[in-house]
Amino acid sequence: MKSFVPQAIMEHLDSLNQSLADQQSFGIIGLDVQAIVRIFNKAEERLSGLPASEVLNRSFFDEVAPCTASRLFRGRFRAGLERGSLDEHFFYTFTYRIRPVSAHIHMLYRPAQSPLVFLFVDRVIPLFEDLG
Amino acid sequence: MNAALEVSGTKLDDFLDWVEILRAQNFHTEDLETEQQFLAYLVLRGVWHLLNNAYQGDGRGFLTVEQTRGLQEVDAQIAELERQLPPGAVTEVRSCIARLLRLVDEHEHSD
Repeated sequence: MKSFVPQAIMEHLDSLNQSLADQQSFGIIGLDVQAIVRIFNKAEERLSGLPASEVLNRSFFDEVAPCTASRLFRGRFRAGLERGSLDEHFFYTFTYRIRPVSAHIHMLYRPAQSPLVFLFVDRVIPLFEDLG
Repeated sequence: MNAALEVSGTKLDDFLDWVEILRAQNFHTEDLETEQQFLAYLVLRGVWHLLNNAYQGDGRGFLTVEQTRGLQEVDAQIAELERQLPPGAVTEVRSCIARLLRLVDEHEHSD
């Protein structure tokens, strides 16, 4: 699956901070190894409807997005940490308390570049307008 | 998506209607309304995660309209119960389920 993340970002995760993340048009969430949110960019704020101030320094799977506390999502995160690297793509449809939307998720963890696990989120389709 | 995972919307609706009827009748019990609401909340949260896991599958496709609608219907009942239950109970159930799912996942991969 082709990534929507520019090569320049994927190859320089060490310089991907909040400021650079805010300049991107797709969602970027940076989690530490405890899954605490350390980066939450403006595009993700807009797409999720969650202000960064309510998300930063909170547990992503337990507090911010409990709908992702599944093996599909958190299981990949855990497995990536155990392996020491993660570069996976999958689709996920968010339905919990928001207008349903499907997204292409790219999880990337390259500890040699950055201690953070990055979730790149590209909203693919605003689904089913009649269900909003 | 495995065809076996396609749950009939009608049956899910029947289940939700059944829960709604029980709740409307206070589960045929006196002075146990909060406890019963709490248990219904726990069950419905479990159902939501069960269906979400089944529908999302391995992440190779998106949910269908019917699957999305089903999850939203379960969530609507969850939200209604959250408005009635003490906030502390809601927080505790959410964190309890998250903790249990994490434990299961870690246990399954600890060998």
